[in-house]
Amino acid sequence: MSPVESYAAVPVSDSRSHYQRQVAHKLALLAVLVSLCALAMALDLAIGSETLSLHQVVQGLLHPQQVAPEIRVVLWDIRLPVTLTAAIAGAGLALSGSLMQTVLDNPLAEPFTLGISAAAGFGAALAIVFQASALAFLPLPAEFIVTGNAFLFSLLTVICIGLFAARTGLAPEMVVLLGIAVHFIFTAMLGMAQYLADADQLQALVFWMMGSLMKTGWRKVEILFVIVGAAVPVLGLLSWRITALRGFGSQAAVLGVAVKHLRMALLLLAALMASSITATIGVVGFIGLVAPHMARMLVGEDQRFSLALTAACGALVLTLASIFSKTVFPGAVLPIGMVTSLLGVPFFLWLLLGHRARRF
Amino acid sequence: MLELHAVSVELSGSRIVSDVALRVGAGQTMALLGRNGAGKSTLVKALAGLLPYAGRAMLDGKELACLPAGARGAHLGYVAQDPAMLAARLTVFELLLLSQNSRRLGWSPPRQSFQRADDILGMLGISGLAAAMPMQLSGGQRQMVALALALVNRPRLLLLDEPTSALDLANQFHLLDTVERYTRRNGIATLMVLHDLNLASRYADRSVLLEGGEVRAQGATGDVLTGERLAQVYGVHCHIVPVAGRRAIIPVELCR
Ligand SMILES: Nc1ncnc2c1ncn2[C@@H]1O[C@H](COP(=O)(O)OP(=O)(O)O)[C@@H](O)[C@H]1O
Ligand SMILES: [Mg+2]
Repeated sequence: MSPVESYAAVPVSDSRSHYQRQVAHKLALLAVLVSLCALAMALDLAIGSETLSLHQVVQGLLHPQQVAPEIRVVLWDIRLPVTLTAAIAGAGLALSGSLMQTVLDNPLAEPFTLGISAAAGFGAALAIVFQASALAFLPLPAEFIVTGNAFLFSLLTVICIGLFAARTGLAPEMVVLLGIAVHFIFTAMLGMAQYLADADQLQALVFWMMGSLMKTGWRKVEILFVIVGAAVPVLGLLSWRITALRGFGSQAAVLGVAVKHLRMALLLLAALMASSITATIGVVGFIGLVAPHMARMLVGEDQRFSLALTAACGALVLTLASIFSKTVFPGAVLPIGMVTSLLGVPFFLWLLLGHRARRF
Repeated sequence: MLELHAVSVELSGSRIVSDVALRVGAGQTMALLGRNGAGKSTLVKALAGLLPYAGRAMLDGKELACLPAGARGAHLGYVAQDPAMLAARLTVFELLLLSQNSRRLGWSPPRQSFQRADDILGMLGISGLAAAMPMQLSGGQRQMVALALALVNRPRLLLLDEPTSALDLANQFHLLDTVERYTRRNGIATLMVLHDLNLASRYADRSVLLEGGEVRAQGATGDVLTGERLAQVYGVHCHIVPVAGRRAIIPVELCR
């Protein structure tokens, strides 16, 4: 008799079917979340200053020519860009947060951990207050000068931090500290810009910093869709490697995973998504922190499922926040960044308490 | 077959391992012995590809550091002194699939991964742990899982860093029996760090004794572990007595 037989509880052939049941369960959860997302998006389209019925929404989306012109305008020109922005930005921020947590090996990391928000704010301030743009050489339409500047500053900041860390071989926790330092530098410079701004510029700047979906438009939806949409298949291909990195840490190198290159690639993807989203709708906190944890609590660490679920959770939470922002004070739309925190915290606590027994 | 020529490892500017030369033949098990801090783990990590080394380390005639990334997993099995995979929320079965497919681009693992995962669990007698997560396991169970993760890729070189440190008496024998059988049957090279000199005598054909990062002695385990040398290296008087056809090493007291 093998001395380890005392462990035995599950017969051999069961381990595979147990695994396959788990996979089916995870796919079912993913399907549920995607359906909830679709439902939330339909609600978001229906709700507004003039509330439509779900039937009108579906009709207007599928057969735009068959609905009244004013419904068509409300749906296609006003609400659809906002709803799509909420869903895409939510998914992108959530993925970005998940990748940051993996790269920095820190469960509290989120898209803004390395100073993206402050850098984007400073980039925007340069454009708003000093009319200076790093993209002056490009023939950009006026609406994109602030956005483009913010995007460039935040992306370059993260790339510089990443390259510096790779060159010097900094440990992840040191990279986080470096990010905090960079955050404070940009915050100070942002403060200086605010100090020098006149009243109108100051208001524009403060409003810009506050996350809001109202800044969007079809062009911005297209850009976000391309960036987040390009990241998705890349992450799909890398998902086994990302799981190996989470499971084995730097020991994944023994299995042939190029750990340093993988970290760099993931950091770049995370920064690209977070920067473009922040530049488009401002700072929307909490989603990037909460959605990855929600996904992991639901399906565990296999990144094939948890990344997909992370994106779905992010899209769902931001779409719900968008609905909420329009309904708490009828007639007014709250800035979305405020709402995500209010909505996200209780849900997160609920999940946390529901799972504490399993974790500790 | 593993051959090292003048292998040195530097960490933050200081030489931790210097000029190690050794040879582990096909089907052979070599014990890496030495006091705490002698550089055993550092040497093993370097061979596993986790630290850069100077010198030459050849596995079946190919330089270890130059193995193509795609072939590494199939050549090397490594059990760390403190195995990672403990924090992850993955089941043992998922980890076994991951270990075989960590560079996979497609979605589902291939059919044979399932078979191998089942086989290895059965071989180590830990099929009952398949659905458990490492953090729910005892230290010894984790060591069995870590060995399963190393063996599932059918490596040509097995590097084990104190693989029995948390195992009960029966499982020490069980694990080392399995390693010995696997090593002989597949003609691979196994290098393992051990602190239990009796287990080393029992399971290692040959041994290397490291001191301060340098090879102090190497050869047949019985020739390396003499009373005189143990007194010099460990500072402990030992009696070496024949018991049931084997050499039993009985530590008596610290040398004064
Ligand atoms: N990252 C490091 N930088 C500098 N010295 C190190 C590092 N890691 C280990 N060492 C030193 O290398 C020596 C050998 O360590 P190790 O190989 O872990 O010993 P052991 O033989 O007990 O496994 C020790 O003196 C240790 O202090
Ligand atoms: Mg050691």
